Amino acid sequence: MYHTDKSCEIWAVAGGKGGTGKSFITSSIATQLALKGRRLVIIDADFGGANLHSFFGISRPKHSLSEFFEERIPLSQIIVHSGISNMGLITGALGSLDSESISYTQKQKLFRQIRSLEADYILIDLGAGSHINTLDTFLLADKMIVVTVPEVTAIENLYQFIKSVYFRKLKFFLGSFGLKDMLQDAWKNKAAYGIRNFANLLDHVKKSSPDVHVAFEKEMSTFVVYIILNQVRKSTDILVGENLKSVCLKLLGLTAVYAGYADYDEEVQKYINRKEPFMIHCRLSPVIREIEDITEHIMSGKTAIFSARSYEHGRY
Amino acid sequence: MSTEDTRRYYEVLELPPDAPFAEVRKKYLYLNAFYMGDSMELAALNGDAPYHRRQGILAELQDAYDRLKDILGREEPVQQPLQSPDVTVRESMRDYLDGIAAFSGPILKEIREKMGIDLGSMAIATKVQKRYLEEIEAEQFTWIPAEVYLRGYVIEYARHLSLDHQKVAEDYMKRYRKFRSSSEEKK
Repeated sequence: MYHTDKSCEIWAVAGGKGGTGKSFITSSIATQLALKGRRLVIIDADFGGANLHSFFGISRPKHSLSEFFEERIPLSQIIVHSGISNMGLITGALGSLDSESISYTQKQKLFRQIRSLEADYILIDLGAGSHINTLDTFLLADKMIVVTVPEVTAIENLYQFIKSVYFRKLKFFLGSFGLKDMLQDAWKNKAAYGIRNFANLLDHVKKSSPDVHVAFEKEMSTFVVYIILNQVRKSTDILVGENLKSVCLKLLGLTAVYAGYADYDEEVQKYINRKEPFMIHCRLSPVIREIEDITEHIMSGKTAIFSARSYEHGRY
Repeated sequence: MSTEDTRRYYEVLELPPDAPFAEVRKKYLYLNAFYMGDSMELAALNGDAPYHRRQGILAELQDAYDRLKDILGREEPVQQPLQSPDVTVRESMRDYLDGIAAFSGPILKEIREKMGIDLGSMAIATKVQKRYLEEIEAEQFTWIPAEVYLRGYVIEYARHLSLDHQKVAEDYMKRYRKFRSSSEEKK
């Protein structure tokens, strides 16, 4: 179900918990890309609580995704202008749409049309939670981005989300080998196989055959999650992203890139509440610079360097 | 040692394969403290990082660091910045400290007394209960809740005296393990 044809690059933003600033980060990164002269379309795929349009000061968007699902209008015809040049916006379905009822064929069609949009970048803002639609859209992306805040509940949900994504990916991967039932079997007989955690499960998959092992390593080498830490209030918070990166690697065997952090800034909050795009109007905030860095790191795939200096000021 | 192995050690320490030794050491100390500690991040994993898995990770980190130290660390040892600025290690003190082959509870007590630091103020600075600090000096291991805690306390103790806390912890934990295995034999 995943196309390799790369006419545009798709970035998907998710994170598990609500209220961590996914839409804020997505809209800010999008603005930054637009300011750099890239053409892009930003899609609000938070089916439950679409509000990305508010970040661009749009109150009643003319079109929304519900027209795509309910009236079969092509995706390219429901793009509204974001108010920022180079950037089109596809707003989420407001109100009645029952996201559970989106069929597999509809999803396929949506993904196909997303891929063929005329743009350099497509940014998809996903909702909270680990719904299967969220996971599948996330896996469709070329760059998988998660946003969290330095709070235990947010990190808990993020970790769970990453595990769910990984599990789903594993299922697709094994399916392509005709081993669709392996995970179910492994789970049912977990005591017999000695599977107590995710790492054991991965070992079990790798052990099944040398072919699977090689293919698995190859597949996973391109599977990278970008972590963004939002609402940083003190310098020690910065390292939370670094620690999460380590945990992903050590406990899940998963490569993560710490793309950067954004400070908590009262000023930014004011602009959001006034429904004004802060990236355009609030140029003095330190968050501007941080968003520029984050965007740069995701574009280049390079991890942010906080190492030497921040470790010394860290908690340990 | 093959370059493949070396690459793997760098991977364990989550560093690029051209990182200098100073960086290796810093990262090792950082990750070691992280997986030994009780941070919010680990608490959020809901049991995915139980004690035995963390011990496994810590052992891997230790091994990677030791191997890389053998390869890279022959140059000057890196001078750690003093952790507690109120303690200055004078020259005579440095000679005395350099003469210590292995750290133990009584030796730590001796150093502390020579520096004129009382346990009360140390407890405040390190946030380790005074009772525990006393027991570390007396090597009364019967109270220990878990090995990681003891190690953590010893590190805090050594840091407060501006000692090489890694070396202190290594020496001390060796004595602790000897104590534990001999007391298990008695049972």
